[in-house]
Amino acid sequence: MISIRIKLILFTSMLVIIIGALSCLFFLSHAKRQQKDALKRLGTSLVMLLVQDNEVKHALRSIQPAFLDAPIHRVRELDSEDEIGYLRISNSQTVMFEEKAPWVNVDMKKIPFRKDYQNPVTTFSRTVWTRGGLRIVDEPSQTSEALLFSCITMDSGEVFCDFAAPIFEKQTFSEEEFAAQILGEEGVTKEKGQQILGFVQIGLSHRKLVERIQKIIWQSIIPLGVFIVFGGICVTFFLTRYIVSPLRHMASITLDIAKGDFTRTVDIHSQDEIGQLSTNFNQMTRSLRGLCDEKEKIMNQLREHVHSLCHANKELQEAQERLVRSEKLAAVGKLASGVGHELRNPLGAIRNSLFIIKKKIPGTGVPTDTQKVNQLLEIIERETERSIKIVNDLLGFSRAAKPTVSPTKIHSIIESSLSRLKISEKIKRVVQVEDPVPLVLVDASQIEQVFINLIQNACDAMPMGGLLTIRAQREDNSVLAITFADTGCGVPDSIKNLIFDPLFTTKPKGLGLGLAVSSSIIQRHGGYIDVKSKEGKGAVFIVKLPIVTT
Amino acid sequence: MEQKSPKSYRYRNFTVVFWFVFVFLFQTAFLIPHAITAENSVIIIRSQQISAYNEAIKGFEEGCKKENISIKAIYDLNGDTEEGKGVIQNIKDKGLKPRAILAIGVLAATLVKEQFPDVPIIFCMVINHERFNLQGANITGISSEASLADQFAILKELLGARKSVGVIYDPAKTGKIITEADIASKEFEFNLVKTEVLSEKEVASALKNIVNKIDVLWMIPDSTVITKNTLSMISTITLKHRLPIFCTSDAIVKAGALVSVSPNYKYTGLQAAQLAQRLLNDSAITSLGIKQPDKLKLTLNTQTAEIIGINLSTIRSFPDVVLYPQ
Repeated sequence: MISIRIKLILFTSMLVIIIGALSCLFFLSHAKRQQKDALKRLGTSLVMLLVQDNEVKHALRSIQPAFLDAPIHRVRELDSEDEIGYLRISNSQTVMFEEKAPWVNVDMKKIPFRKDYQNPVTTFSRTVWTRGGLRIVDEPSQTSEALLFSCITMDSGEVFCDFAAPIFEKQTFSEEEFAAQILGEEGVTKEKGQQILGFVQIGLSHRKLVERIQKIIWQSIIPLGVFIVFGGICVTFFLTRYIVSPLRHMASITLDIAKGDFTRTVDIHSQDEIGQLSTNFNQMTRSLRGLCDEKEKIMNQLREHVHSLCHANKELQEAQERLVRSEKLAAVGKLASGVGHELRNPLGAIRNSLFIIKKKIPGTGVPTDTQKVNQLLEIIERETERSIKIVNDLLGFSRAAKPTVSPTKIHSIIESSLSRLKISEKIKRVVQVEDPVPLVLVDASQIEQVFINLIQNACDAMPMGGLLTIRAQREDNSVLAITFADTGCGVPDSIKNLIFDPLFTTKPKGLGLGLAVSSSIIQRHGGYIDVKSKEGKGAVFIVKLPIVTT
Repeated sequence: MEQKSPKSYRYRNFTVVFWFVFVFLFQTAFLIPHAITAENSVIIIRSQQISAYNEAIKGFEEGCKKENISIKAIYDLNGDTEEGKGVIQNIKDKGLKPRAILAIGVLAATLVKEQFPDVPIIFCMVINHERFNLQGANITGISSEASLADQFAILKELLGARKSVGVIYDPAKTGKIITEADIASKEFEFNLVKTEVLSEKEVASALKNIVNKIDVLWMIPDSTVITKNTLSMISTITLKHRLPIFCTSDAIVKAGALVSVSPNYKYTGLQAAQLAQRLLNDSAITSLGIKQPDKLKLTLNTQTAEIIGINLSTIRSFPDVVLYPQ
């Protein structure tokens, strides 16, 4: 990616170089034109000086070259830069004076010899501005002394500006023309035919012109170009510093903002577009920060809602499970109540009958060798008693009494439960009750039965000993959680959902009614019981009971 | 003794009479030029045929009648140097020895001064005569321009004091006038804004440079500044800026200048006749120096005055005022 800084530097540098080059070309062409014009003016003035000199006319008239010495000397004095390459003064027949500068390596015979003059009217070129641009316009000369100008390139490559002019025998008296004009009459003086006495021809070398142009190039044009380029580069650096630096700063801040740092702001307070951009950018950042905060707030609310939904869902599931369990228990209870009620009477009759049989056997004289009969009777009696107990338990489960609740300290119930159980010395007990512990609305005898069941189960799960931790702490303003944690064998995941079902047991002599009864008692108290366990890593039974609200 | 015939006597008498008559006539013929020179006779040499010169000649002729001076001949040089030289050579070849010569115009004045060093010469109608070195023991002249004091007095009357007067001049031609004008302008409390030009081409830019700094443009007879090409341009620029032009030529007034002070050409001729009379009356005096013209005329352009918005009522009351257009 090419940065805007590089683009700006490249573009401006190219622009500056083009402007510099064009300026140099313009000044070079202007300097060349000026130098050529100066050379033309010099040539014209030198030729005119000789043309208008009376001594030159006299020399030509009387064919006396000696008279030419003084005017030629005057011309040489005017040629301060030694530019005259050759000078020739001739009449129509012969060359009266011919001389070339020592540095000129040219055969004078090769320079065209002027000896006729047909049209005295010459044209002067001038440039004028028109709609189509610069145009060169040729205008007829107003002077009678018309100048012949041409450029001659020699075989050696040397270039001469050749100036030639005819020398006329007589001239109009211009002062009289002026007097006529001042005195209110014009055009009284008429031009008459003028006899040509001869020609003056001067060749000015281009050597000095080229030297001067080169001097201008090295002393003016190149420094000017360098100055323009360096100036342009300085301007470019200033521009990039002034324009690009704030943009780069803004770009870095944009990156930070993209990463989420909305505290970054652009501190540019200029009164230009960049300043306005930074103000708008800061405003946009503030808006973005507000939107992000709002989004975060919404997300948090959403998370809370999701969490509460999950919680509600879980509670719903648990409630559903509890409902199903209670329905099942109710059904089982009804069944058990019916079965128990139906079995109670036959079992009672069997027991009574067995009591009568036992009483009558010694009276009847039945021999004692009928010991086997006695043993069988004992079995019948024992199993009948056991059956009656089961029936009673079932009836007890089905006819659970409605709890009579009162504000109770949970600590006392825990202590009472522990005192009523015989716990092995291998099991370490830890009771942690937060102080002050809130009172709970419970039926103390029923809750004690629950706690006894749970402690007994924990002790049964740790036959080799372990740690029993009982902890009571407020879960929130309305619920007190009592946990019974053991380090026993734990509850396998497969049976976790079955342990609160009636008649489900993992114990060899258990009836499977302890946890089912406990769960039903806790439910009747408006709480619930839950288990968290991993097989082999102990189990935690949590009892949640409502707190007394004042 | 031999007796002579009457016929031979008659022949001898005739021969004697003839010789007497012949000698008398010869002597008379020989003495005619001396007799002529003894008279108050002058010749006029004119540079060229223009009405101003002719008017001066008319005035001179009138003056000569009054002063009893005879004009022997009027020669015309046709504005050509070579022709002029030929004409003068003819005069010399004829052996004419005038008591005085009136040279009208610069060509005539310069050639006569060169060719007749021992004859009293009176020149007139020479524009800016100081340029041509017309001084000498035998030279008397009448300036063709009003004196600077006269010009500035009229200018002060026209514009008031403490004004900026602009002038464009070629130092090679009118530098001397400007040097004198510098001194004279201080007396008249004028601020003279001078601009030098070396060629006709520079006049336009020179005028544009000073046009907003001056109250009046003073045009002096400078052949670099006043040409056919510049005259209309100067008139256009000054009228555009409502700038009055003060000059010494009524021809420039006709071209758009506001006012000019110039000699009365006919009266210049009369003045030349008076000077000739003084020179002829006293042969000991050969030069009377350069005189200022006795009578001036003011030429006013009323159209220009209207455009510029200048009140000419005070100037119109002057004597010898010519209004243009009439």
